[in-house]
Amino acid sequence: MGSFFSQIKVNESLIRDAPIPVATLNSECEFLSSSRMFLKEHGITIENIIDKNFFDVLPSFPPAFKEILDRCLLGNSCQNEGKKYLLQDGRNVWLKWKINPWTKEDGSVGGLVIVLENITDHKNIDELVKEAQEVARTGGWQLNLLTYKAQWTKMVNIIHEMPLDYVPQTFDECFVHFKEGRHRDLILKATHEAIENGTPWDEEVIMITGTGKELWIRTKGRAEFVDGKCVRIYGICQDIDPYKRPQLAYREAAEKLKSAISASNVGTWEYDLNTGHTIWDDINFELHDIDKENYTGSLYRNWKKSLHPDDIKRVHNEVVSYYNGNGSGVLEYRVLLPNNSVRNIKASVTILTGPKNNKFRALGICQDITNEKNTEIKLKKFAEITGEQNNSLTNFAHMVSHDLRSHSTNLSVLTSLIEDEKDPEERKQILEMLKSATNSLNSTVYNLNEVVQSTDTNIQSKLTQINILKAITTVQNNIGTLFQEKKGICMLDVDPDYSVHVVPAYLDSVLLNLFTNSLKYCATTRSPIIKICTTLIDKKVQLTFEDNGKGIDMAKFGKNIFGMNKTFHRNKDARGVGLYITKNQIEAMGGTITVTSEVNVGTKFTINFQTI
Amino acid sequence: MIEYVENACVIDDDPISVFGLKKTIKETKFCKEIIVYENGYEAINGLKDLLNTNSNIPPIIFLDLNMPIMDGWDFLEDFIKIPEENRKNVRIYIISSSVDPRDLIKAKSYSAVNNFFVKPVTTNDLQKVIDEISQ
Repeated sequence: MGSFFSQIKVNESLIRDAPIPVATLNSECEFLSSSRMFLKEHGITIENIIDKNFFDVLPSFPPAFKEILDRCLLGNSCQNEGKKYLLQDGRNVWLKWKINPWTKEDGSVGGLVIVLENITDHKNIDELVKEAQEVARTGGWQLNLLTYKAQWTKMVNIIHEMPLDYVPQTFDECFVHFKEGRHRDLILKATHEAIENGTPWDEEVIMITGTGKELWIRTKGRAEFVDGKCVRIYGICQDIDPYKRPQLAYREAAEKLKSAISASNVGTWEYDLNTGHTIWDDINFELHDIDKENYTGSLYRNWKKSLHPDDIKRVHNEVVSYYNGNGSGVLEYRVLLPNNSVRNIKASVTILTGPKNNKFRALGICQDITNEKNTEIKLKKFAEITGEQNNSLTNFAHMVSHDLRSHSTNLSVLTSLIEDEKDPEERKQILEMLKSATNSLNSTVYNLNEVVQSTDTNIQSKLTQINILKAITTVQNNIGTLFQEKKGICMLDVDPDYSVHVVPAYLDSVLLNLFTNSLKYCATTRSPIIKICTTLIDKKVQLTFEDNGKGIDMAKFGKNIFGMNKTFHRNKDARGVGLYITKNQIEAMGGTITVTSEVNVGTKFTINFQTI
Repeated sequence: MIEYVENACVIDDDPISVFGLKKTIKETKFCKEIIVYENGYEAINGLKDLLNTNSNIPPIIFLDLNMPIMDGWDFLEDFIKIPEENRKNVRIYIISSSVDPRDLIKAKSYSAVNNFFVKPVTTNDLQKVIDEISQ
């Protein structure tokens, strides 16, 4: 006995420093010795545990552990790689132990040598890893290239929807699970690369499960080399189907959206109202003609700078108004391009409001609507032309229905009267009237012809350059007798170099009409004076034709002045077609005519001609 | 010779038309006296002068539409401004060479207008007027 205890004493120091959690107990389960690691492992803080009972030192240990100790005290060794116990305080604890009984000299059991580890943390991590594997649906695999023996973790079988005990039997069998074609070829190539060159792989491919389902997996693999020869490849296999499919669908949708956006030429932008941070897509840069790589200052300022100067104020007001909750958030503006052309943009803005009703972000799209705008302008122009032509037609119809009819009526009345009339004096008077009626009919037909001519849409080909001074003097000479008769004076301030782009016959007709009007409707108390001046305005010739005649009451007749059958003077020959034709002819040549007048002072016509 | 009315008024700028109408009126012995105005402006001033000298407006007015200075429509606009009691016995007949239906529709919109005759005015037309006023 004595020798044993002394031995124990010697061993005590050995045991104390042993690098494992070890302790010796006597047959009463009282500590004879323990290593420091034992104390540390089980968190024992009692200073001296020698001679103290195991369960007094470790009071929270499960009573079930006592049975194990008791069994060993009967002379049995016991070993466990890990057992879970529920402690009295509710905690789980994992213990790993190795217990041997020690015998006294007489062969009876003197006590126990215990190596006892608390592997709870370890086990918890293990369990977490296992759980993580399940959650991540990730399994591991390896293939021994010497024996061609494969090993799969359970999760690999689960992913493959194969029996849990299934393992591929040959090298080739490892690859039949990948979808034939692109996917299988990819993995075969990757495996080959790994075995030959040690290149690891990480790929996403489709495999076919045991039930024939297609499944997206991520497979990672690498090779192990011994003496320059690949002996093993191993890796993981992860079920990524639930993420991969939405991702693919999203990518496809995003791709479609992108191509749709780029095809429709819609620019998008985002503006953070708090930070001022702005994001533009490429199309937006293009639409506003801003160099994406080479601009300075904020995008907002650049955007403002790109606007047509005439639009800046209006657009600014509309933006502010929308920010304050008014308007639709749709605005149209023009971008001035370097070549001075204009791009029409239609922009829609949305302001995002946060939970506290705070505005935090503005989103928008911009669209190039130049074509639509141009078409709209063209359409409007067409509508105008149609309207004008319709108007001319109405006037024309009026002339036909009224003027021609009135002459023909007169002719028929006069002819029937002349038949019945016996009195030679009366007959003579009727004959005079008949003569005047036929003359009127003649002049009406002539006027009608002029109107038809001036509404000719094919006028452009007939335009030529004419010296305006020459044209004026020619017409003036043609009506020289009328001038003499009325004692008229004409004052010219016409630049002899000015030419206008006109139909010569129209210009003559216009000038003739203006001259005869001025002379016909001259004031009774003074000789007619006609002043003709030319000036250059915007590179276009402007001609003013001014007289000192009777004048027209503009307030009363201003709106009808160029209409048909409107005469404003008590002159017998005023049939009121002249100015209508004049206006038609000038407009047909692309010019304009306006009039100002004052009763008893005179009338002034202003004509703007087209030049090349 | 019994005329149906004392006097009638013709407002028309076309001398031939007036000449024809005068002949027809004489033929039907429609009235004793015919007052002619060459346009609406002359007419409205003439009628107002008559009222100012306490004379009556002629009970029958033949009104042309297309005339210079003031046309038939302008005349009608000014005419209906004359106090009702001074013009209640006046019947206006439009005489026009226009066959434009719009003129007919427009003429009907004036309650002062009794009828619309397309030129030339015939004895039949005048007979209609006579029938109307004899009722």
